[in-house]
Amino acid sequence: MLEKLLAMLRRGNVYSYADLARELGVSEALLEGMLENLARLGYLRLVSNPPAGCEPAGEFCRKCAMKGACAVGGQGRVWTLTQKGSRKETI
Amino acid sequence: MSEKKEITVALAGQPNVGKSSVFNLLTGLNQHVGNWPGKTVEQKTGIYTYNGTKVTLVDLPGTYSLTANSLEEIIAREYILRARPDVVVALLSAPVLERNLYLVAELLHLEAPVVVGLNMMDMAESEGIHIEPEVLQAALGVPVVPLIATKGQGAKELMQTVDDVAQGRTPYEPKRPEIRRDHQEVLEQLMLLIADHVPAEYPKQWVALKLLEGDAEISRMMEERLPHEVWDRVSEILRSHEDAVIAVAGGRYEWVARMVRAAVVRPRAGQITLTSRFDQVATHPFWGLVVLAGILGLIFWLTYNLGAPLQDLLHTYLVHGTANFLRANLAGAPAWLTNLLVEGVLGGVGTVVTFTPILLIFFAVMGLMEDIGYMARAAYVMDRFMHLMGLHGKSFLPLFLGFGCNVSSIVGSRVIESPAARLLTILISPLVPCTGRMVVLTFIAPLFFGRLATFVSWGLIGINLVVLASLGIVLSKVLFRGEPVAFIMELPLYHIPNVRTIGLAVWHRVVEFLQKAGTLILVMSVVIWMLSALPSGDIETSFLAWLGRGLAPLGSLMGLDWRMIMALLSSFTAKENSIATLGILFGAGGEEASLGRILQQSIVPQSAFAFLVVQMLFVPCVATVAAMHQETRSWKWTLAGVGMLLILSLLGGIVAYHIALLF
Repeated sequence: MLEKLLAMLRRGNVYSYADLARELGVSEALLEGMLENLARLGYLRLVSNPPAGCEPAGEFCRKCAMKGACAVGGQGRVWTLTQKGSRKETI
Repeated sequence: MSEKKEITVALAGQPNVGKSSVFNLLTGLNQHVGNWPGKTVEQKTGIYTYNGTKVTLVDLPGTYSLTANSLEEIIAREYILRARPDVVVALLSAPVLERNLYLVAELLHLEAPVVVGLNMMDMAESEGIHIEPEVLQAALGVPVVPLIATKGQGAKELMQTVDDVAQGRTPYEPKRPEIRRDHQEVLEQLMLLIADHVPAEYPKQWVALKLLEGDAEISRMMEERLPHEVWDRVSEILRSHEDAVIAVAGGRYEWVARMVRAAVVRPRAGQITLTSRFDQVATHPFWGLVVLAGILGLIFWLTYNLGAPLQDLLHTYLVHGTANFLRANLAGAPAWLTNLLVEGVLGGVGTVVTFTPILLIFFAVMGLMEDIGYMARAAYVMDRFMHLMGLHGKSFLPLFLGFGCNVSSIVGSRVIESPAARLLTILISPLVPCTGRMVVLTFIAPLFFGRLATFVSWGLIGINLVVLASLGIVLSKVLFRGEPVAFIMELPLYHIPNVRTIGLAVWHRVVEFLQKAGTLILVMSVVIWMLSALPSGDIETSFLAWLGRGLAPLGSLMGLDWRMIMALLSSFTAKENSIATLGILFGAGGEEASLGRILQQSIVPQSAFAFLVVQMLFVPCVATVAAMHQETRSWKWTLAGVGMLLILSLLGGIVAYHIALLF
């Protein structure tokens, strides 16, 4: 199941929780658990975690007036594939 | 078989499942708090008696899984392995059953018998989640006891079940997560190799599984215990299965999903359904774009019908009224001062300030969209559209809806891990229409295109996006072949907008705009005015005219006279300066007519169209260029980006002008 998830992500694109949950046949709650697990294993990284907002841009985002309208600084969590996660599988 | 008089029970569970409540419920005041031996993590033990048996209850640290990644997890699994409790009670929280079951999947691979306590049954029911404990029990193959610890319900049943299992009265046949067939072989290989060297209390299959998962602690342990050659062979096997952890963890999730499908009935709550229904349209590949285009159209329509009249009013009272006041009261002052203030300041900055109503509308609609939660959908739809246009493997999520200012999108691209993809995003960032550009657009479009203004505006934004996508594809193929970029977005539920939140946000943005006007744009207005007044006082023979006429041949290709070229050049400092410069060079400060009417009389629609195309594609403002340099740390790329846009905009202007001439 996680392999299928990583394979989808390795194609590059933007996915909503609903997209992934539907593809994998699980609930969004379970999906979020999987994302957290993959993050703990180093394959994913949380880049935006409200209310803190966009983490890599840090201070800049916190002061930015457009933060709420920004795809990454907004109301939901946003994850990205790390370099480890985007490598080819060696299973 | 005689009954045990004393047993030990471990209480395990993920954080926030109510372990403390259950612990207290069972042990009452018979608790002792200390530390795990040699560690700084707190340990709670307690005692209760049931059916003549003394039960020592040990509260394990709350953990999501049993990896070696945290001290708590190591403590928990070490206890179960070495202390060999008679029963492990795995506490789950019913509303988040599927999250908690992952830990059970790990626990079942250890040898201690597991009893599942299903807590917070009342909260699950109130959220509309219906769980059947007997079905879960049948699916798991281990006893499941429903509880509501906060109300004291279920304690007796739990104690009875624990007693039954500990005393061996009930058969224990857990349905463990399966291991993939190809991994079965690898596991057997590993087990053969390590068989003689595994400590007695560790199950061999568990150790082999953990080795396959890349568990740091178990790897270290086995490396120490195995003879060199054996460890080398084990390492070799592990190296060729580096990502096995994904398959193993994935297998556990599949097991969890099966359990949940069997035992959980979840009728959708009202709010969730409403959100998913809206999202079926809002995130649809085609209809989502239609919705987005519709909202954009709404913004333009409101701006043209509400904003423009307000803007005219502001011109009459603010710009023209102040001009008259100044002229009247500065009769004795030197002419250049009066002219500076009237033509330079009022004509320039003053004109820009009349845009405040337009910006108010724009920010209010944006604010509304973001407060109800729509913006995330817009970003998602735009990004998916880019993929449809051929930008596979690259995501530009940070770009869009940094619609406020390109600087935000450039700094925001820091979320992209791959340096090549990040550079690509930075280079095409300036093509995203920022508010500065939108201001110029919303000013000029209605003057020349009347009822078609909305369509023309749409079209110009569309051109930007097509150019953005095309440039992205070209650059992506020619220059960059980086790692794929993927983003996963949580699209939160839609909710009722909060007027105060939106009001505050709009207020901040308008204030920010006025501050910019009062500083950057004011200074530029004065500079432009000076350059247009010196040396002779006559605009047609000024320095600026001299410079502008030098560029006139290029401008004529696009139907732009020297004043419009200068306006475009001045937009380098800030996009809004285009308007300020037009205001100065076309004499809006001194006139009763607003800049709009003056322009309508001075230039033809085809020139206006070309002007707009160039403006929309033009080099970014100095703030954006500075951000580009800061983020790329390379003058080469920054200048390349600027140069690229310069060429694009000039070509665009020429093409646009000649096409417009056909109409």
